[in-house]
Amino acid sequence: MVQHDAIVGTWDVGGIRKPAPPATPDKLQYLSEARRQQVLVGELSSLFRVADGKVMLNGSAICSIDKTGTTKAYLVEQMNLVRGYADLRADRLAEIDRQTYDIISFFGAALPMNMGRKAFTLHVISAIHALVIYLEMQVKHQLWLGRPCQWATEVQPVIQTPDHSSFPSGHATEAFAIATVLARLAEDKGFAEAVSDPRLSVLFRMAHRIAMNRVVAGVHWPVDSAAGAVLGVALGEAIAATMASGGGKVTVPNAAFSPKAHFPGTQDCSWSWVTSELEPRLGTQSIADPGATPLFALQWAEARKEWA
Amino acid sequence: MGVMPGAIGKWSDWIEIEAPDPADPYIHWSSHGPGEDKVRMPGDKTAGDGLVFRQFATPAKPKCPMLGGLDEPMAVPSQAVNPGLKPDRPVYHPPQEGDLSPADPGMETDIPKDAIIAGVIDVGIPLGHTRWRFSDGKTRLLAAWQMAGRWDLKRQPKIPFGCEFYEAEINRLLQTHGGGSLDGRLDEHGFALATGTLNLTTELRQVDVARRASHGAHVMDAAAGADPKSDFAKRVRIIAVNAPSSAEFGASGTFLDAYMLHAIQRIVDIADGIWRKKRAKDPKSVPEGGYPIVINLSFGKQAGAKDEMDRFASELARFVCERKAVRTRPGPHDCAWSRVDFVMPSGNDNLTRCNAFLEPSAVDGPQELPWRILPEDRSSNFAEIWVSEDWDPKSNIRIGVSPPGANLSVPRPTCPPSATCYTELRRGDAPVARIYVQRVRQERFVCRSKPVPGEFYQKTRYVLCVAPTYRLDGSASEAPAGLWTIKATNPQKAPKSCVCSVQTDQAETPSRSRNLRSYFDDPVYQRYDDFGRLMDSYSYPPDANGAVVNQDLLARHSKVRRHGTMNASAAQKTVARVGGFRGTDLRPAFYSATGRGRPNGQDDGTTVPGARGSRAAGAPTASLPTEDGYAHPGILASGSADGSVVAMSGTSFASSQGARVILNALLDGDRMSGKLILFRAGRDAEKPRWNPAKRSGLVELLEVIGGGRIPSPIPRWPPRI
Repeated sequence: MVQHDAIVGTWDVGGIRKPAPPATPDKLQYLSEARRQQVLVGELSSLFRVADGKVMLNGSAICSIDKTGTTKAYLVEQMNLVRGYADLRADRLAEIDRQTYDIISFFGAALPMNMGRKAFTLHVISAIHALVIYLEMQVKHQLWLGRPCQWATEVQPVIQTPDHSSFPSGHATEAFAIATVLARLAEDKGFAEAVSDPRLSVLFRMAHRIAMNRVVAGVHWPVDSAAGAVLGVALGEAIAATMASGGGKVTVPNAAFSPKAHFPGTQDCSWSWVTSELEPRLGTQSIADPGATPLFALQWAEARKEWA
Repeated sequence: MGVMPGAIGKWSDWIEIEAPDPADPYIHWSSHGPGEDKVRMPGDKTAGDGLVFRQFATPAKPKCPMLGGLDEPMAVPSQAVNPGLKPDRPVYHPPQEGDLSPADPGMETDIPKDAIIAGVIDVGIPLGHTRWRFSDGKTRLLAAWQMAGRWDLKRQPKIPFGCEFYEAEINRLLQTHGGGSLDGRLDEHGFALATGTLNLTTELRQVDVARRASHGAHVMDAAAGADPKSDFAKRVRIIAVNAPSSAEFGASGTFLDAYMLHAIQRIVDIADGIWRKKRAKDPKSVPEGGYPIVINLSFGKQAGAKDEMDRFASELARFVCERKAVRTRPGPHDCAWSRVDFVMPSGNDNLTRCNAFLEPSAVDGPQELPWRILPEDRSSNFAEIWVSEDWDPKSNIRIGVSPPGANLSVPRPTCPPSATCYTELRRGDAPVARIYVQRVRQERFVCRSKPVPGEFYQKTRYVLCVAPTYRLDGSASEAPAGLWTIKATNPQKAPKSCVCSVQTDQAETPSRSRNLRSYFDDPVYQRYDDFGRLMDSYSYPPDANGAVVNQDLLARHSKVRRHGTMNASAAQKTVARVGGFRGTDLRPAFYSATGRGRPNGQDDGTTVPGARGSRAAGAPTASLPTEDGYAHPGILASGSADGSVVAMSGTSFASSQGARVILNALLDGDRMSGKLILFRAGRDAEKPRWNPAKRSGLVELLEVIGGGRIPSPIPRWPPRI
């Protein structure tokens, strides 16, 4: 006797009953974390489009990246910096290895976050993390640049070299986007204010360290980190502004980064570059309607309450 | 917002340092230059837990020989400073008599006439271990000065910083925290807090004794630890000084000399004070001239003169000589003249690419040395260049320094002979590098029955300082990381030797275990052999004929040398210098510094030394095992907790064993100097291994192992099979 026959008996197909709907469907709490994230990222991604290195929010470019100037001579100068960072590998190998698959946990060292007390925050930044990967991968594809070890075999990266473009750095984009969003959630401070705030600047130091760990590992150029930092902050600010606006006219970044114009070959993506040169790259613009994301907006509002 | 990174400018004209600004380049850089990255949490006050600079006044003319340099300014943790001292007034080293004078009831001790004093200066020395107590539970320590300990734990008006506890007080605290006998369990945490060896609450905390292993516990045990019932324990009494960490004395040893001189002077003063006090009561109860003292200092710096021109070296030499001369001083006096032996490690920088020799000439042209400064380094980087020369501006070597990607010239120094001058490199308004130049003119020290005049010799000293490459403190002085270039130009046909060394660079924050240190990145220097093994100073093991090859000689085109990596503080004739080797197969430890063979350091670091090589000040005196385990690196001795045993690696732990070899010899009645005791013990240990017919190659090893490889004197139980 199979289980059905043993415990159900005759199946009277007429006796069905309407199930109760989720108590708060818009908060998506009835969904597993993975499914919830898919819904949120799907909704959020409907606002963005990428073309020719430009990321557009509902049709308006909020960040334009180009790779002009990354000539062989330029990369020789950048390689000198990569060589210098290679000396830090023994110090940072544990971090580098972990950061190949986990970035968000490191921000927990800067601001305490756990599923018990900051569940909505974690859902928000997880969704933004996933969205940023979708966007940055398109930018990378459009602006392909070889990894340092593809230019010189002496680089010998300490982790597997990813298959996608070196420029801009995905880790830098993601880490700076997360830092920007956390600064907005925690104290509603923008990049310029947060980076000089004793408490919140730790978020950006963490993002900077995550970005530069990829240079230490030998899989990125410093200019990748700089471009990624600009893109990441622009995306983080654009999302935060959109959520804060509640619809309608909103001020968002109008960022631009070009190695030729903004980052000489001898320039390192140092912390002082982040604190002094990144903000002028961001720019601002006003757009009439960034589009609506009601489900994500609700998550954002709940996340803000967690830091109140 | 942070600094605007702009273009780097040119080297400035030379600026003369004028009194009262400090002439020491490191102290000047720290106090009147970009200095180190300094981090304060929001709300911290200047007078909080940070460092305060203290200007020390020259002590009144001492009755007995006293080290100079006690008037050097120091950076002292504010919590360690005697608050009774007015901030704007100079402070003094504790008086030589003071609280230990016969009239002072401060300290009583029962010390045998044939006692020997072991002075241990280290970081993280716990004070309650069984191995430095008697069988009745009382301490063998005569005193312990915690230089960075909280002053208010003891409130001694005469101690300018830190807190010092004497024997009776340590015994009282042992009683309070553990019943005072060896039967009970000592509350080590509470005892350490009460004695100032542990400080968990202030920014510049001292936490070494709360960890599993501490440098000071291991060193103290190897040097002077013993079974409480042993004769060694009964006769060897201890004076300990817990020195501050590198976070206080500077990642590159900015204030290290000053701290060490204060520590040595205090050990000698306490030993002599006890001797004077007991002699006043009963002259027959004390030895003639004072108690013999053996002081172990497991410290050092890499860059320096590496001879008697070093200020620390010359102070020790003068002090020892003047103390000897007291014996024949006419008229009544109350000064001790007993022997004081110093033991120091030869250093761990053998393979750190921190030592190079340039020999430019007008014929061969200028020589360049690449100097790699690491990114995201929060401490300054320093290199020193020493040139033997006169002071004729036309014939002088010229030193140039360029940041990555630039080729800058440095103006010809226009500094008066007796002054210290510097030139500065700026980015915008922020200085990012300096070159200091000093003409060092020193009398070659001769000590017969007393110091006698000797010939003068002179060198030019350049100190290259580069600001941190990463800042948390918001300072605009952030230097570019990468390949800096040092260039030496000689207008004369005859080559001149320039000795270049990268300064020691330790942790710049308390309790940090790693540091980022710059190095000479000479592309010709070979780090590994064809099999992937580290290239050491000599090829090991010896070949079938017992010969080893000087691998520095093989790499003749490289400017970077392993020869000459000796600890600069120890490369002097006054102290015994101890290297390390692997106990299992006698191979010299790869990190153990290689000396230079010829006297006065005149060789280029590649000359095969003669048999007397190890007697030269620039080479080790002897060596002791620093690796002796099949399952772990290092050698065993006490951990931080009483009864624990840990393995630690490095020549510090050869030095501590060297001190014990000397103590053992003195207990046996040996009257030779500590250096000779070690040299002879090394030779005796080496003799059975010699093969004169083959000339066995060991002659060359003298540059690394000194007189020879001495078995460990640490009592081992159970004995090794």
